[in-house]
Amino acid sequence: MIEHAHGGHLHRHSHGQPLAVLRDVTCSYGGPVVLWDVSLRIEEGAFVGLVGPSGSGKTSLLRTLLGTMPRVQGRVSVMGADVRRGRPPGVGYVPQVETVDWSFPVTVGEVVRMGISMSSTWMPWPSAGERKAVDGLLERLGIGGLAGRHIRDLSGGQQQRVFLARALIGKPRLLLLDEPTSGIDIKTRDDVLHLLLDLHEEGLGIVLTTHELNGVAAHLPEVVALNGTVVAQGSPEEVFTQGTLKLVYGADLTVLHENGMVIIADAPHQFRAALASTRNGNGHS
Amino acid sequence: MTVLVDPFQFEFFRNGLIAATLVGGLCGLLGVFIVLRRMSYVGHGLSHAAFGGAVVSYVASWNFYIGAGLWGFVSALLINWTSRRRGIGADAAIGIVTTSSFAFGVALISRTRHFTRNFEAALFGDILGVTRTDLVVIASVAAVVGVGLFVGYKQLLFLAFDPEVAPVYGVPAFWVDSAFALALAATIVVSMNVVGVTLIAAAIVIPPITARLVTHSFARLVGLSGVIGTLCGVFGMYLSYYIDVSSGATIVLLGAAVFLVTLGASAARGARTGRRMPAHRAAAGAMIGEKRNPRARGPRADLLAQWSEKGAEE
Repeated sequence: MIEHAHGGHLHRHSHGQPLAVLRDVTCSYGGPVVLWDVSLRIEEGAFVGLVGPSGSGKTSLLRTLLGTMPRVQGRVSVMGADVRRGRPPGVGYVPQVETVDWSFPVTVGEVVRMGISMSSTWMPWPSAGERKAVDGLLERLGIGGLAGRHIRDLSGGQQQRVFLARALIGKPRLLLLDEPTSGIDIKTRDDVLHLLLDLHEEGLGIVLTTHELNGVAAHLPEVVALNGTVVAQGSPEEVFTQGTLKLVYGADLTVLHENGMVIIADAPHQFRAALASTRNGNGHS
Repeated sequence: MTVLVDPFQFEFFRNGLIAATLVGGLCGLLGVFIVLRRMSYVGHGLSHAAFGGAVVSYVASWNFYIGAGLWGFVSALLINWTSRRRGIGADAAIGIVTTSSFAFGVALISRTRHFTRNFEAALFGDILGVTRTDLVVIASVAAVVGVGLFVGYKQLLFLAFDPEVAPVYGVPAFWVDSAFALALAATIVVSMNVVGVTLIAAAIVIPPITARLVTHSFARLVGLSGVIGTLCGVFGMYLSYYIDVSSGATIVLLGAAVFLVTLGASAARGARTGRRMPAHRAAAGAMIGEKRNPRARGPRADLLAQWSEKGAEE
């Protein structure tokens, strides 16, 4: 069961198949292999966080799902369709906002309407219905009334929501986000993750990449840890252990459990030796 | 009123005015996409590449428009192809393809030695020599490119803003890029007679940069840039007639003057509102290569500028 945002209204559809399936996938940009032997199944309404060090293949995995990876071996299907045969339908994508050219002369409304540039009329200007849909969606995402503003005049959180709106305006069933929590402060990060949780609760399938392990631990029900291949997957409690994090990041990180929350902390230099002996001794996490 | 009407008694002026108006508007419209796709240097380079095609057409007795147009189109595709190779940037690719093509044209001229008159016309424009056939070709290209920009507006905007993501949303990047390269080559070839190879880049770049100083909306930018290009073409022709200076140079100089006045007005408005650098002016600067300066972009540009100023005072 899934719901879509469109002009502030929700439309409910029912589908039986998984949103995406990767089976024995190995891929590259034409040079060295960046991901190998990846098998994943993303169920309808899933909310998955892809974590791993820089260069571990998180963005490459998103590109594989989007069908933009240059070399892919194995089977990748999204909504039951082979991505190598064309662009997967029903997928919304939010790129890293760091890649956006903020000096580009474009308003919030113009950016959001890009999401339906292939399905709207061929007239350059938006129809009344499109304007209404954009206004409704912006309102729903908490940035109503900003359609005429230049994208650079917004705060970091508002900018993130603009690109989220561009992905949602096409009524996707699966939303892919590349580093939605990077470059924003902790409050904005929390707001963005809560907004994504709201969308997830309405049934939208979400896969995001992030370096914010604590944000994932606090908000997401499922984690996939990558380092060239899938090292671990499961709930944050299952994946975020000292041993798994050592395998993924090659670093001794501290994992604390506090009031049902999993908290990952850096290992302070002066405690590093003690942490290592503790781990070797009783495996405490 | 007679100032506006008098020159119309001459056919060369009537033809020149129509050509300058169409080319000015066309370059202004197309220029928005060229500048925002960071292809300003491509416009400059392609005009030189088309020069090679013009010389080949002349020597081989081919139709000028077909020869130079095809040459320019192939050069644009070659630049695209070369710049996608590993380790070769777009600027280097343009440098290789266009200068080679230009050098080929010069080499041919040095062999044949009877292209001198056309050589000057190609380099600096010869608007007084615009014929009815030229007008038909210019009007046809303006109409086709205009319709293309109208119909492909949304896809061109998406590709210019976010070339990596646009294909994910179904924009056929290869076909749009190829059609755009063809439109660019055609525009450059029909503009050669009016403003000349050496000044085409200015006719393409100045209108959008000027328009950017006064708006942050893409739709308004396109309209305004087209209007600025058209008006510079019209009034540049009149100015050229009355001060007896080369038409191409007058059109470009008038555009540069409009840019400077707009820049001054924008700076004055910024000073009145107490902002160190108005967002539009900073953004216009970023369009012409200041993008990598962190103080000229990003939501905190003004704050950074203030900090920088404080640091300098201390």
